[in-house]
Amino acid sequence: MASTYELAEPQAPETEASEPEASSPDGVPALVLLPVGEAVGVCDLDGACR
Amino acid sequence: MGAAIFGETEGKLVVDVWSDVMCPFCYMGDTLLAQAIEQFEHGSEVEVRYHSFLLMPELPSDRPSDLMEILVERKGFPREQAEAMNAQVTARGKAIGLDYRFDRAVAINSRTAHRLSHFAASEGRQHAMVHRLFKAYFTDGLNVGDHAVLADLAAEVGLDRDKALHAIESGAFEEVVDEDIRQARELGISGVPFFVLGGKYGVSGAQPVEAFLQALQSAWADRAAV
Repeated sequence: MASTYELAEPQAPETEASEPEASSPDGVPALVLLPVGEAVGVCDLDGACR
Repeated sequence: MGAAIFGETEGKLVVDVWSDVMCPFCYMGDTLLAQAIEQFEHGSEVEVRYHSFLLMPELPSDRPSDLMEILVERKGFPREQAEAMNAQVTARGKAIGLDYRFDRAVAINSRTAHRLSHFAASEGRQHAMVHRLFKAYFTDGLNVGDHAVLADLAAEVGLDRDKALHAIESGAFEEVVDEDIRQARELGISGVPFFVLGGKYGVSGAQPVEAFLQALQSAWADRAAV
């Protein structure tokens, strides 16, 4: 892995949302992700925070 | 709590948050969301609910570890890089009033802390409990897997210590933790913090306050349109 905490500067939110997707086959509603763009400030199961 | 994540609670806009007590960005995200809710004109009508996500479920629950040792020896990060990046998190946290002390952090399986969070939810004190757990882990260097420590923290936020200790030691809320993890998987959540507003809008990560405000406004507009 390249780094532990790859901090990106917080980005200003976009004004446009991603298009909602259809529900998954098991009925779980799909989410509209805000803001559009790369997620920052996330930790994952590999122990990496970026 | 875990079974009814989508929809409203007594007419409020619900924000469901998946996080882990040992996730530095979850502490930040919680703080930034709280700031956004403070600025949001309908903030008093927003309810935040915390769901469990275990970043390191493989950690033992009875044997604390040094966080840096885990990152370097088990996860394979270069020590200098991990330390530098911790310093960056510390600096960013300081900018929003958080005091990160990674040198004190005691890594431990966080499942019991999550169960305590759900106990606190059942008593109407989840936000205070979660916030105290973050501070205990990141600032105070406390072992958040230790039952006595957790019971003390529960008492600090106004919960009955004996009742909290009983919940911890009886294994209560295990099924709620499992349900939260299952729901996270169903929603495709692979990292935390992750926020779901009004059961529709997802926000990934410790985003700026403006992003949370935008999401709150979108979710509120949808709610009003129904």
